[in-house]
Amino acid sequence: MLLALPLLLFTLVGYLAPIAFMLERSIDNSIPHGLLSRASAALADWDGGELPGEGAFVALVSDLHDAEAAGRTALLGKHLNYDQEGFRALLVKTVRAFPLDGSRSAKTALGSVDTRWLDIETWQVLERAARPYTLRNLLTVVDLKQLPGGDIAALPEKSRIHLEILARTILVSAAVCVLCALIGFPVALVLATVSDRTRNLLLILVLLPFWTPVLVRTTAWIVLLQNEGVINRLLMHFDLAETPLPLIFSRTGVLIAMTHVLLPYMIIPIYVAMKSVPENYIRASLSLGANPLVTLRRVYLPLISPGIRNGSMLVFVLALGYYITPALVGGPSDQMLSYLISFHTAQTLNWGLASALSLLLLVSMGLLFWVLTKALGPVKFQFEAAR
Amino acid sequence: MITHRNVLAAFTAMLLMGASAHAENSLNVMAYGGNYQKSQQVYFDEFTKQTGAKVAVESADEAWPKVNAMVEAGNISWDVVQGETSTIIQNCDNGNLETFDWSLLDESAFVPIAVQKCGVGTIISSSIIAYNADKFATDPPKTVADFWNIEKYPGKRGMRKKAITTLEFALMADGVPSGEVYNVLRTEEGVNRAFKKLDQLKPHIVWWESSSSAPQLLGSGEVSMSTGWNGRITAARKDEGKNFAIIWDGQIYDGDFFAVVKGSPNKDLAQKFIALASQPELQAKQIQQISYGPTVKKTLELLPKETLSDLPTSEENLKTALPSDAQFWAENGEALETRFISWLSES
Repeated sequence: MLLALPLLLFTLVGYLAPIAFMLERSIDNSIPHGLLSRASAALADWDGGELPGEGAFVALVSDLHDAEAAGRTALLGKHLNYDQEGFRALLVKTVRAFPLDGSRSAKTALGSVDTRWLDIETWQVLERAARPYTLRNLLTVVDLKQLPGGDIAALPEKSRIHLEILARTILVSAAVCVLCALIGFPVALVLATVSDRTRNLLLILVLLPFWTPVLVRTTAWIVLLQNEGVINRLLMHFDLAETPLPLIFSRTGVLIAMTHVLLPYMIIPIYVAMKSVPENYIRASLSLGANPLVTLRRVYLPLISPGIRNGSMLVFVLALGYYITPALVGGPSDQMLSYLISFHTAQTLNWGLASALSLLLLVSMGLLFWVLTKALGPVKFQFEAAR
Repeated sequence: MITHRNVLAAFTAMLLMGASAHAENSLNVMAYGGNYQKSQQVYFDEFTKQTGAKVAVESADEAWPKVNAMVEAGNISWDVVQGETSTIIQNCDNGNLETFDWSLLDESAFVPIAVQKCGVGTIISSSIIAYNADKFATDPPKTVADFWNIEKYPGKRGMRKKAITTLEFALMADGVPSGEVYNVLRTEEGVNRAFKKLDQLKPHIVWWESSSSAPQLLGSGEVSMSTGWNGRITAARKDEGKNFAIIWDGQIYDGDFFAVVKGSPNKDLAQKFIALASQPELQAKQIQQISYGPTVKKTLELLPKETLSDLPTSEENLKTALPSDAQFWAENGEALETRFISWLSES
């Protein structure tokens, strides 16, 4: 037990802790909360029924004043814009009108800068945006949003993409899994039946992709699949196709390349399961009068099914998180959830939304795993499973 | 104050950067790689010669998430970074960049778009449409609208996988004059119009992300026309003998900037470097290697004639040009880029 301690510690520090931090980020709202600290305090007891009192207006003005002095107005606007488009422009306009006329109440003064400050919805959005935590990102990833009044509604159609991409991710992974099983099963069968010498050679061939970096393998597929690539040239040379087939930047390309990359994860578990089936079971079945097909279905397949199951789980779960292969050989409508995560991490720098998307992937993966183990029984390791 | 946010940012910075130590008296510069970075060597060499400080250059395609992580973690391993105007404005607003000390330079010596609160323009680069001249030898394409004309100019189209520049090209192809593009784009109907125009071309587009991809796609024959950075296209023509031609109609030009990362331990040295890179003599040396426009006005006088005609800022090429509206993109970029990605993912 003690010997496993370093590994446990390592997992905790290097794996679980960063995940926890990352997930916290999906609900973190500390930047606007910090910049709107006074308004947030002034709005604490506000019920949202009608416009808040003068105190809240004064608090907001002094918050905006400080934010502007620190050069943070645009940053605050960026965050408020997530909740309501146009908020950034409203803030910039308001701050430009500073200093406000001191002889009037803050409410009248703000109202004369822009009438939206006298709109209750503006304050409802502001109040929610000033809280230390937000549900916005978690709602967005399931294509929902919170209206100013607090009701939950669907995102506008133009941005309702997250669940569709999640479904696509699962679909592509499942398809890759089936393809791997179809191609992997015969290979494993050959591996399990040939002589030791041939097997070693074949095993090296199967494992070779493991020793090649994923980027190199994927680039090789680009060379093969592109319009002027080897496959299309051959097809056109032999008049099998008139125009180049859309093999690259398409779903076909993604399926081919991902199946190739993930194939060893399917072959090895099936092969191990096959190796552990005693030959005399098969002979017994045949000698007791079952024909080969019945033997395959009722004796052989049940014995190696743990291998197929383990391989499928491995391939499926690995495929769910695939990023680089679809990004390189897929078209824009073949991108999976990880692409969207990378987009918000690297392009829009909206790390809260990226974290929420990671959470969506993690939760769906967990759910799928749970459903699959419920349906197929728990994952077992071959050496115990086949006995 | 150490909070778990800082810890996470430190983690991220560490992962993104590798463990790069910050050497004494050396300047860490982020660059884009390729021909462009090669042309900047004149600045790096001259800087080392004058100050004795070494310049460590690191090329990065996705620089800004790293800058963001560094600033959050307070562990700054780059001093000088580069970015286009809207990126510089956004990151200046977000507090990722130092305010530049303009007392070091004469603002009036620069073209106006090269002067920003946090950055100093180093080149004027242009997004243009390039085509493989071997494919369209007779009656070659001349306008942005020709880019949309698949019947007359068959073949796939390469486009940058970004809303910025793509939406502008779409509107110009739809007949919007360059002076009106941003007025149209400021309205909801205008954005819809741009996406509708893109819908027409969508099945024919191959999207690229890395700036070296446009010449590669054109060279391999995967596409017959592509949007791209003018300097990369001219370099491929001059250095690799590719028969690429540029359509200057509707070119979208924008500044590219040097800026100092917030909290850089070498802030003074970094600003000194930027000031040095703004000398017309050095700019002229760089521009003879890569066809981008200079940001210091005087540089133009130092350039030979044959270089001038390849520059986005030459009079001939500026006729229907569109200056990129950085303020527009700084304000609407995030929303439009997100909508663009949603649009892309629809099949």
